[in-house]
Amino acid sequence: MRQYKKAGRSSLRKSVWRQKTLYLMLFPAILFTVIFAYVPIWGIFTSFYDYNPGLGFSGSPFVGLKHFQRFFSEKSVFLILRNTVAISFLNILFGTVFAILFAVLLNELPFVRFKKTVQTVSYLPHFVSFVVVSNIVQTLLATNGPINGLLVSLGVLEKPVVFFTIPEAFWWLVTGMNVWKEMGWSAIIYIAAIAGIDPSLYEAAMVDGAGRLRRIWHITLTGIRPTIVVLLVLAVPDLLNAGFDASYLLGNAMVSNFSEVLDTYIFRVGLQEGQYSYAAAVGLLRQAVGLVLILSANKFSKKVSEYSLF
Amino acid sequence: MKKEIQLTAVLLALVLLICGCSAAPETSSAPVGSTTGTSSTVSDQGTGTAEPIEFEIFIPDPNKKIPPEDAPVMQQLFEKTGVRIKYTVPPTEAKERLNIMLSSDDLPDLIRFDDSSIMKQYIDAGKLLKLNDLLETHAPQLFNVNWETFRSRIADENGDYWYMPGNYTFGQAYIEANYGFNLRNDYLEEFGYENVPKTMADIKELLKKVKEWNPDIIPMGLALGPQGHLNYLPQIGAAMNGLTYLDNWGGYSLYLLDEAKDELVYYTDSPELKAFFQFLNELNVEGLIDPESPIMSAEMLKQKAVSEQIWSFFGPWWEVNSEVNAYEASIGSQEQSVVVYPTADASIEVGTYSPYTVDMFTTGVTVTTKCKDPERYMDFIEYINTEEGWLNAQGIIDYHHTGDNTAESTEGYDYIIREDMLIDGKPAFQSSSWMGDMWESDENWWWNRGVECMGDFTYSINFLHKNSSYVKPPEDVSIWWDENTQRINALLGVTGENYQEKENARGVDASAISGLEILSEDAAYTKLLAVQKLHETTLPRIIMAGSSEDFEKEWNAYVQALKEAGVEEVMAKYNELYHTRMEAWRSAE
Repeated sequence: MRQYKKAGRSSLRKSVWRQKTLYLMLFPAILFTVIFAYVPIWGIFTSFYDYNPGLGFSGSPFVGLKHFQRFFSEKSVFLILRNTVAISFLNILFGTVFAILFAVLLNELPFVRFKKTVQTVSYLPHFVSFVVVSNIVQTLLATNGPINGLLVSLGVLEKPVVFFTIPEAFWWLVTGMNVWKEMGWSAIIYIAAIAGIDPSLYEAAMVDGAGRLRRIWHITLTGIRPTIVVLLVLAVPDLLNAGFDASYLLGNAMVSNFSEVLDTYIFRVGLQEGQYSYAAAVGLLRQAVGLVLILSANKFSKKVSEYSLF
Repeated sequence: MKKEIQLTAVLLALVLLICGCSAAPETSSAPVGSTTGTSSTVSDQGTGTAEPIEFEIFIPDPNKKIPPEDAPVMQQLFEKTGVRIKYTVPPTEAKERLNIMLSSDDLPDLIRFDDSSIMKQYIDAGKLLKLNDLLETHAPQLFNVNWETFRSRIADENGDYWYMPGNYTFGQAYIEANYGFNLRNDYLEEFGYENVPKTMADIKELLKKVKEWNPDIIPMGLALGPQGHLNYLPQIGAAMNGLTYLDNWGGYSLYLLDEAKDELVYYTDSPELKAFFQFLNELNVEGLIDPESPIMSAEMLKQKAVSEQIWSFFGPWWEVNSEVNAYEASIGSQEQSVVVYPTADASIEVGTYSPYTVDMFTTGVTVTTKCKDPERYMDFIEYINTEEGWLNAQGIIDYHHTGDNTAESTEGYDYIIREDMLIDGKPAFQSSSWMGDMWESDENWWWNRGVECMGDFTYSINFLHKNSSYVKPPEDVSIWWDENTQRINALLGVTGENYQEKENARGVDASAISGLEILSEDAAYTKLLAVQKLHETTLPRIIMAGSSEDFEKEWNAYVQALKEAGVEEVMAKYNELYHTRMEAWRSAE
């Protein structure tokens, strides 16, 4: 038995040494993850105290579940959760649909150079800060901006509209901005997945008389189904992660019932109001729910299809 | 080739790792409670024998104008004392930055607090130095003379001193209203200055006429969005009705003093304030307010005012009007944006646009445990609170001026001391005409010069103080106005001689209700936060409601939401603090 263990350890060492370059390249990312994702986990204990940063844990009173109870008794909790889930759901739904659509359409382009150019241009907005994007959108949608001007001149609107003061429009505006910004970047994975489909399948389908749409439906989309499922499973925990930027930058009093999400709520109570423990409790709750969601989604996916994350 | 690529990739990863791990340099700090200094102190005459030192101060005011290091007055102070002051100002949310500093222990030498709740958190966390010993040994004049009349009021319940109040004035203070109704004078130039509105009804009529006269301009804009002027509106409403309230420089001052009942009331409990917001809503319903107002920040409003997209606004006048006027002057136009102070109706003669206090706010400049040399700092404070030090912090002074106060004879000096003009046997202290000319040409000149830059650090110094060697007679403030401004102000009934009198008439003593703070450990604190949040999110909706019925609906819903949020408990706490203070003051008398 000892011989087998020794042999096992020795082959592991050999394997690591053989791939030392790869491990070295991986090391910064692991270090980054440990320092910024795992080490701060100890901070969740602040949610069980009335934590004073200057006094530390020893000087701060232990309060148990007081902050968690407070969250569930807050009157605005329902609105905040509703907004968070709604914006996330729309982002995931339209983000996925448009990314797949874009990848499929790009795949159908015959000219390689043009295809590559379009793909490159499409993911450039991903690198633009949301602050810049929100400024651009606010300028475009201003009452004296080009969108209002066009709609008024076409007779669609009688007078200019301040889009960002319409509560019901907020979710759609934010979704639209996110889709525009991330569609090209998200499509990269689907493009890579499509590239992995055997071209002979398309040839065989053409011989059998399948048109373009049929080939897309039966070959392209079927071929990337595992990728879609995996990415959707990964996206499920993000149902409680609507993103901070849009709500913070574009939210205002007129749309506050539709714009406040968990991220802005945690920012406001934690940093602006200095209620660290309460904000930590809300954050912990969100992560716990996210964990439950990803486990559930993975199990569900395993049951209904043969694909799952783990 | 493959190995070379791999090696390059590994080296690149290592370089990135090293760069990513580089840490910011630590600020130097004195050990907690240390009394050892690091350099020689300021001499009694402030003759600058000390080694240079820089103190960093955090000011929780994004609008704070900071003089540059090489500003002449800052340089003059440095030559006298060897001390430089470096200002750190947050770009937006000051409270957020203070909370981050507290939790990260990344502290400057000094912090000015405008919120005693956060200051108390810092005290409880042991981040601030107790000043008792420092004041007694290094600032005896400040402590015993300057603070003579109010020393006991700024100590805590244990008799400890944690902060040093600044910007303190007493007696015949120089009051100036911070906000009002601001409008372009183009319509007034054409149709006469008798159209200057004196009441809310006048404003409404005027805006309607402006809309007919110039359909391309929006009659009024309001900065109701984030980083806007929302908090000024209840204050303006209170001012127009001649009420006693608090001007928290755009912060939360939502309670009024009901003098008849001798108690504090939340502004929604005041029929006068409701009428004011109803008036704003009527303006909106009639299409006189910019529909983008709910998302407008102060910066956006400024841009719209400069580019003539809006004709008028309610709010602080200095930033916006000076920008508009500078632009108009640059294109050779005589147009200006001016501020006027209407009242709610004709029964109110003068609005209370300038609340002032003859008492301390419960906040000021504190010394942190990271201060590099607390003793040296205290020596500096003692010096600039003497007459000599204060004069050196005021400006470049001609101590022996003779002759008239003209721009030519005072060139290079900000203030002059007139030995040929004695008042009660003491020379007169005057602003120089040269300074007035310089300020006309550049509204930033004052800060770039560093004039009166030490307001946060000087206390109880003015020329009515019994130990002063000079007397400051009433100023003809028109020296700061260009010809066009003098002409327009004359048409508005304001001259250089009567300016101060008119401003003082708009003053209201808010000492009794200033500085009342609900601390974070109090049960009412979380309710206060909820009430403040409602104010931010609901007031714009009320003003911008589409009809008077919608206004009533929104207002009633707001009042109900306030009750559910705990406004009654909040006001009960404020009233408890107010009455406790009043009893203490009465027994001290």
